[in-house]
Amino acid sequence: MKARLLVIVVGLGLSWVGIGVGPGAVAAAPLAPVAPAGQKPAASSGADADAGSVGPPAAGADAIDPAIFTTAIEDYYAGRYADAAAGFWGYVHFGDAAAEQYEWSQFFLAESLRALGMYHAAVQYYATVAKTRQRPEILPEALRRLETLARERPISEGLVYDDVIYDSDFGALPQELVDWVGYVQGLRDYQHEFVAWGGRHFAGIGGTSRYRLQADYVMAVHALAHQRDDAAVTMLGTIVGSKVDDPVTKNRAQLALARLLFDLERFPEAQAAYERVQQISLSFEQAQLLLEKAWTAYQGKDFRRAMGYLHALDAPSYERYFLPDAFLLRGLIFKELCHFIAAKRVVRAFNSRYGRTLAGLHARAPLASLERIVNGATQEGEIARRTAFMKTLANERLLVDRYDAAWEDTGLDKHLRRLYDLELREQRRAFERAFEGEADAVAKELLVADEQMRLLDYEIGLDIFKRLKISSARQTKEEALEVPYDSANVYYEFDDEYWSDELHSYEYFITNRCFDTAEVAP
Amino acid sequence: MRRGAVGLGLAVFAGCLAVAAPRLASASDERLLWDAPRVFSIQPRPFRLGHEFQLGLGVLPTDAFYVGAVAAASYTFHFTDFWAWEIAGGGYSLNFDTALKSELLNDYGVAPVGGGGERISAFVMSGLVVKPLFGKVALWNDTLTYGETFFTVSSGAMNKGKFTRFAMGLGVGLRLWWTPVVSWRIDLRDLMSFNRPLPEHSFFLLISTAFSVARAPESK
Repeated sequence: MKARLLVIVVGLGLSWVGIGVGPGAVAAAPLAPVAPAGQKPAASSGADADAGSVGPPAAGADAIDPAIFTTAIEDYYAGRYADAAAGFWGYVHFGDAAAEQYEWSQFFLAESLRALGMYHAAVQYYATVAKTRQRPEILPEALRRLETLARERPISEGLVYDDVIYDSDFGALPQELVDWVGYVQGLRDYQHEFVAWGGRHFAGIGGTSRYRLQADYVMAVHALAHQRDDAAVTMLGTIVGSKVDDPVTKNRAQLALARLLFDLERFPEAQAAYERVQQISLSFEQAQLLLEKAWTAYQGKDFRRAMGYLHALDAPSYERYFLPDAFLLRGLIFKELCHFIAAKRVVRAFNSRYGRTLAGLHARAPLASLERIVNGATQEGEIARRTAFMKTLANERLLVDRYDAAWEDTGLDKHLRRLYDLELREQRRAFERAFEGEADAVAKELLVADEQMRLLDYEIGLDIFKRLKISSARQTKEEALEVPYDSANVYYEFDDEYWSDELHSYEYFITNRCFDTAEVAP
Repeated sequence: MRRGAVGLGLAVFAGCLAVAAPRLASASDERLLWDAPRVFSIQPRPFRLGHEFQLGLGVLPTDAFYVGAVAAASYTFHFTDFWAWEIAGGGYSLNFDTALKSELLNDYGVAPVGGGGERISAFVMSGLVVKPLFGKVALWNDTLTYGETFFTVSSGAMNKGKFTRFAMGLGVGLRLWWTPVVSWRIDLRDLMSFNRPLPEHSFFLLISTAFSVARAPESK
């Protein structure tokens, strides 16, 4: 448990780039017309035109009609984004890289695709604009769009962070973009153990920026990974108490702090820290949080609370998550309270849940064919983000079919399909590479849990038939299990219906059935 | 006849036993075999009342000869989350004739004795409040709203016609919280005035806003 927690913390921190990635609306396209500058740009490569060498080479170099751009702009501001995208794409694809509105066409193509919900394709063109930097006036806007998309959605991190940002010098930028760029560059430096460089990049981040906290979090995790636990506790505490308005990072720091305190065996502090962690979505992270809170309560001998957290994990929303530890902990608590039948039932429930998967493991079936192993391997960390990104890519690719009619003439539909297919292949390749290691770890975790459950089953059997001298045995004095009619707390008895706001507040009213074998006073 | 009644009673008892026994047995079995403990979600009350000031508008609708439009106010001190004392509460009624009096005169040529009886013009009461029901409801499947139901027993004085009489009130009410300070109340009370051994009943419906100096939620 402890080693697992540490790995989670370190993994979350060092691979954590897509902070705040999740569903969310992207701001609407600017309504005020952006006047393209009239300067003649320097020629850029034909590969840039097709956003990463996807699509046929540019043709008809000097013959592009400027009216195409003008019409596309009119379509864009009239909200006809599909027509606008076709126009901009035509200008980019059939025109020369030296054409006057070339970079503006790329930018507005990205804007149009973003408005149509094809975020990955939009990112490709924003990234192209940011990378070539032929029009300095567009650069901040393109970076701003990338920053927003990176914050709100899964994106191609390799494309944006590694290809565009990591080794780039963008010159003068607005401070909020300096913050983001500095954070990304510093994060990559820390991941590569270039700590001094990372520190320099982080030093440029403004004190009130959300990226200031995120940079501090990276440094705290780095300290943790290098066994500087006390420093990490201090740094995480500073983040939690910061006045910077970034609840996501603060919450993440709070969770890391709780896990660290648990590993340091400071259980009461860990319990208090866990209570301050906010989780509202029915995600794997919340399920994991409930399990960790249960372990913490168990360490503090608060079995009722521990069982309450485990009870919440029975909610249907959590059923698909791979958490074999939950069965082990539940069985342990029932055994500790001498509820042997219930403990035996937990062992049977574990076998029922994971029996088929264990049989598959024993038969050396391919791990990718075992559903629970696949779920367990893809439910957290970088591979979970990659899985979510692949789903997004697949959904966005389907959107292309809607605009076949508008895009057939210019070939934009084929181009976008190729773009998405290429990224999907790339992501799938990276996924398969990561999956192997993750699946192995999950399979081992399940085998260890199975071994623990068998041991528990054996110990339950021993306890059932434990011999006691009747003269010295007495029922443990039970603490009151009363529900007060007048209390500052409200007691909602569970009636087979899970309310999401109650998941962290369940308590088991369970009696201790053990006999106290201490000597009875004469 | 008597034997038949006894037989019927025994049959009903046996029937009840037959229906209840399996349920009792299954509940017992469940506790023993499955060892099912009780599970509670224990949450701090999100809204707690301390000093409560109530202002509202109500109606006295049940008298056939008049309808009273009542402006009401009260102050309640909440000892705990279950017990409270409505230290002072009262209302002033602006009464309007119904059509009955003129109909009697026009259709039957008669007039009610004493103008249709005494009319409530004001009342002042003090009483006990118990709040056994507290809960949360989903409002439009969008917002979680908290509320409570309460019961009141009160006594005081009521100005009715030319007299001021001893009065009692029995009531039930529903409160929905808007913020920790502001809540909305619907009260339904049976106001009883005693000028004879048997009371005269007047139902009183009140919709009001309550402002509370709230107590902080307590942690578990």
